[in-house]
Amino acid sequence: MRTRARTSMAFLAALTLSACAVGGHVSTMGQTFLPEMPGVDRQAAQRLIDAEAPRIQVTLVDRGTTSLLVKDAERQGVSRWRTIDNTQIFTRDGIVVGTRGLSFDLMSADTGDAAAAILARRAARVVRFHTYLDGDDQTRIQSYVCDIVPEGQQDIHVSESLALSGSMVRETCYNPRGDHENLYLLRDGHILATVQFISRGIGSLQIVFFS
Amino acid sequence: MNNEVNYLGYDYRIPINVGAQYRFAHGGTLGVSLLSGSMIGVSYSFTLDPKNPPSHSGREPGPPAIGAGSTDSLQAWTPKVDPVHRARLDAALRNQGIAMSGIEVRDNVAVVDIYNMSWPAAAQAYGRTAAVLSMQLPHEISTFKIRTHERGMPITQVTLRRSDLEDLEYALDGSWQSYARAGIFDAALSPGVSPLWQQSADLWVAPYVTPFFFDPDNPVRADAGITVAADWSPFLGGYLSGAVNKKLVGNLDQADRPSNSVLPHVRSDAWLYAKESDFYLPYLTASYFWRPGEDLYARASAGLLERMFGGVSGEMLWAPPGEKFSFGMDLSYAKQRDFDGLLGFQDYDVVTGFLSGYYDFGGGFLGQVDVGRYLAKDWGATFTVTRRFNNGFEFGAFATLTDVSSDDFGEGAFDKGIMLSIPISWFTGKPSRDHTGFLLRPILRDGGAQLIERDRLYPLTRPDRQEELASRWGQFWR
Repeated sequence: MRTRARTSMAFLAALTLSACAVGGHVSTMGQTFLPEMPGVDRQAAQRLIDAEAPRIQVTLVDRGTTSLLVKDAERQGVSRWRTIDNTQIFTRDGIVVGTRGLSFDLMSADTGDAAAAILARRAARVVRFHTYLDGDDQTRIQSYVCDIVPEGQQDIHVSESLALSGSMVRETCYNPRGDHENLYLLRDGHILATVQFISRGIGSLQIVFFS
Repeated sequence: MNNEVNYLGYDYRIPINVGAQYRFAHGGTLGVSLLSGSMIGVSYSFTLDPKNPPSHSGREPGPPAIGAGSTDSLQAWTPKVDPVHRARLDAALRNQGIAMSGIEVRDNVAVVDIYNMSWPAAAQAYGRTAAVLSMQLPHEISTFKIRTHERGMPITQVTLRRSDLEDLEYALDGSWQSYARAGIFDAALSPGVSPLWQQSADLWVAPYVTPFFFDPDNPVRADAGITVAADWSPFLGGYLSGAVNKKLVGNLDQADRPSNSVLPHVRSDAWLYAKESDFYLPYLTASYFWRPGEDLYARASAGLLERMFGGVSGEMLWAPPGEKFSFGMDLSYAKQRDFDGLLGFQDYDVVTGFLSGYYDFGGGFLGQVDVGRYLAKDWGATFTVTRRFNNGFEFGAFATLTDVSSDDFGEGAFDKGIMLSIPISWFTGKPSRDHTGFLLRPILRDGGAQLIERDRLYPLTRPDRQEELASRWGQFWR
């Protein structure tokens, strides 16, 4: 119980910090992660911003870097979010199923069973699968056994002007190469904010959904 | 010991040597030692794991999403592509580091010729091209035939169905499934796009370093300077290439050990080239590349082939896709260049050539045997074993045995060495097709010496051929 309390506090602190960091960058969609190189079409991002496409706020928890991402595409239930310099995150029902441009990327993920339990706020033991590329360009599939535990109502202050209230769900995943923990704040069956493990190189992403 | 001291000029002051080492957190070890009270030695060593690069790959903008297709009328793309649409597609591909040299739409199939300008793994170029095509071409176009090229030669054609791309973009094993569903063939087997060749030219400036090791007077020598290089393709497969080097600093010209070789001085006068000029042409060639037939690649070159030799050269490679073996042959007439590194020649000339066999032993081990006549007119064979990792990191060793006796060869008895080639992307994690590395010989003599030509066909074509394409297909969705 004590561990849970600590983790929730960390989640809250991370949310507050990230909101401060990004406050001055909203009009330009936040910081950029990458220099100019093939694949950076800043005008495309600007067009999405001008069209007021849905956006999320993402923080690399270990690095403390925060950026706003706009929705670039949606197909087969997967939303594709991008920074202005085209770092990308793919989500399905608010759960990350891929990243690009972060180096230790999550290439793909099968999170179907986990998503069903998390969105229903139902305690369950599920299996999820992640695909990575190792340093020798070989595909590695990691499987995790995850315990999903609903934790009740919580209020989180994202910034001075934004507070989120919802049900917290904790997902603890086990693998011989390392365990990790994910947190989800839900309301009306949707994820409002979350901290999710991506890879050992990236660590966790904290995401706030604004729409 | 006094004799040794006198003979070697060794300054012996105290009978004690002292040394210390410090190991850094990242694994490197710095050593400092004091020898006989008169000399200081400094060393640095580190270990690295080729499979675990310091920067993981993927520090790059993400790929375009698979799209449902444009609302363009099919008539805008067939039978001839409307220039406006072509320009739009060209710009979208160029934004992904891909140069398009041609496109044709036949029924509901798009055939697209590309050059990979940026991506270390060819699979990544195919993946990004496919994503752009899925977005830019009308939905009715359901199949993409993407053909990569090197130096004007079509190398490999990958056929992808739009429906497979849509199915697998977010699939857990989308990488493997997309490879299994792709049709991968030698691009010479099928007709390409009618050439709409546009002249291309590149000019670049870069620093260079020329090291020279194991001179008994000074075991490490080097020159550093600036190279200005240009590449112009006036017609499909034809390339005029040249470079000028200007030395800025260095001490290669301080070497002063005249060669005592009894063989023609094809390499052992290397120090004279450094001594005679600090402004020279490392190469200046006209080359033509083409595909004579299925599984065959060919090159013809003339001009200043390398720093010490110019002439004419021809090469052919037979490399069937998916097979473990390849064979090559090359034949050159070479004349020794003047020491000043400009346009003049010396009197020595030679006809040199080799039959080459390449074999993939599996597990990343590659073998190569070259049998033929060397620059000093000696006959023999060179044996090379290379360990190549999927990420492009490569190291190897070679040895050459010829009909030159050990006595005639001189110090070292026969030619041998090691080589290391590391992709720039291995260090940075960012996309680049460039490599850095070195070839290290304990001593440079004249026996067993080969021409050092650019654009040899086996390494030029291998990254795009099926063998290497398959090993890095995990990058397709990146």
